[in-house]
Amino acid sequence: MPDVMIPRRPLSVSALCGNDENAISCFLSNNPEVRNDMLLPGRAYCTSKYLVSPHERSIVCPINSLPARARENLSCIIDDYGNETHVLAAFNEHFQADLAEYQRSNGRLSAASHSNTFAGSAAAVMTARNTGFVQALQHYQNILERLNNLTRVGRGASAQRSALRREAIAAYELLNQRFQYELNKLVPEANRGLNRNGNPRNKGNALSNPQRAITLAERGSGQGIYVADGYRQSTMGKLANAVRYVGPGVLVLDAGIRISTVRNERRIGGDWHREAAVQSAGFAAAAGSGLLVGGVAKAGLVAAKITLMATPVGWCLVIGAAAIVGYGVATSLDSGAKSAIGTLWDRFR
Amino acid sequence: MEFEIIFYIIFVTLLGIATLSWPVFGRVSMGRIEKRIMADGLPRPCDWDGAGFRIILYVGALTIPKFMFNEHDEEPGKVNPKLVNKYAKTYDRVLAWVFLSTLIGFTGMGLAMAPLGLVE
Repeated sequence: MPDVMIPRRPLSVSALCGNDENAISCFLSNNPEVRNDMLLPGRAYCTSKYLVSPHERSIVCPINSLPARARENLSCIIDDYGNETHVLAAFNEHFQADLAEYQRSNGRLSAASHSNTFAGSAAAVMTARNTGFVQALQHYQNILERLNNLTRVGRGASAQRSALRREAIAAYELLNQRFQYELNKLVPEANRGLNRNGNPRNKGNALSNPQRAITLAERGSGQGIYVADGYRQSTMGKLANAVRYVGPGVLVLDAGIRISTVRNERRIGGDWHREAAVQSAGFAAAAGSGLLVGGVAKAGLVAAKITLMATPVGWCLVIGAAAIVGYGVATSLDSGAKSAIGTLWDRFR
Repeated sequence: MEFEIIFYIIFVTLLGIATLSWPVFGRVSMGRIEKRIMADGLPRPCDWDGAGFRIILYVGALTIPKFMFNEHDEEPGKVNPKLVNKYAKTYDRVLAWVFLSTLIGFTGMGLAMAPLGLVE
């Protein structure tokens, strides 16, 4: 994957590259959109020390098409987590599915009490599985790159070529058997495998099927064989967006839903004063307890840094546990505060 | 008066105090401490905080005993407890204690509601 930088404040090219003529010209040809020597804050620039291929540029471009706020978040996350950002992104990808499942099967407190084990085990399994998937993708990509290099060099040993083809097919089979769920998310099943005539489809990228991958790799340009990088780029974009949603936006969204509940109550002629008191107490209780749990998790994060934080898995475990326990506590406090205010209101009205 | 009503009254009182002391601590104490730190030419104590959650870090810095912090808390970009304590006054500490204790109180009571059968 090419090196990407998202500056936080305006920066000149000479401040970035120093007086090195070669570095400046390399940077300018990698980033043709740079005009009059200034880098804009919040845009992604490729800072690789070599001339990147068009395919690698196509990894940088989608980052710039994210909303400005998401890019700003991403640059802050990269500042905080550095090279572990993509691990976090991959975790977030899976974790969102977990949280949605948890919300569906919301058993209030009974769920909150088992959420600790749930968070721990699910996070561990998911992280291990995800790392495995990225490793399998990387392995597949490496084989295709070697095949591509063999083609570029010109005449290679045909035995080596056929061995690489066999390896590529085996690597794809591994992906297909062990990571079918992830593979289906990347390339829908309808776009993979055989076409109507029973031949392998010659469309799509290297993940469509191994024959397509070999065809692509044996072309000089080898477009579409860098599958692992593309996967990371797509998960990074989702992380930036997710962080945007769990920012202040989620509080506004929550308040909006509550206000509309009160308005509905008023429209149907119910006791909307009671509903307003109930909803605002629920809001305060959920936000306050969420803050407390978040703070405890943050303190735990600092304390655990010495032991756990050396590994990305440690990060994922702590963040995942905080989010799921925080969600459980906030929902149970919300319902608790609602019933407390409701009962008191009915009693002393 | 039955147990349920007393429990609810204490819970709602704690919730009310916490909800009031939250913005008060945020504006009066946290805002003033940050302003005074920046007025002395030091960098902003907390790097990036979209939703204002750093308030709990300030509360922690003012309430948790000093020996529990370590050198990791003094890295740049984090709320530095030593610095915050240097700029804090007594009423900041009182506000922080009020906010933290009510917050813990109503969260604990809220979590105890379901096992006690007090949730509708």
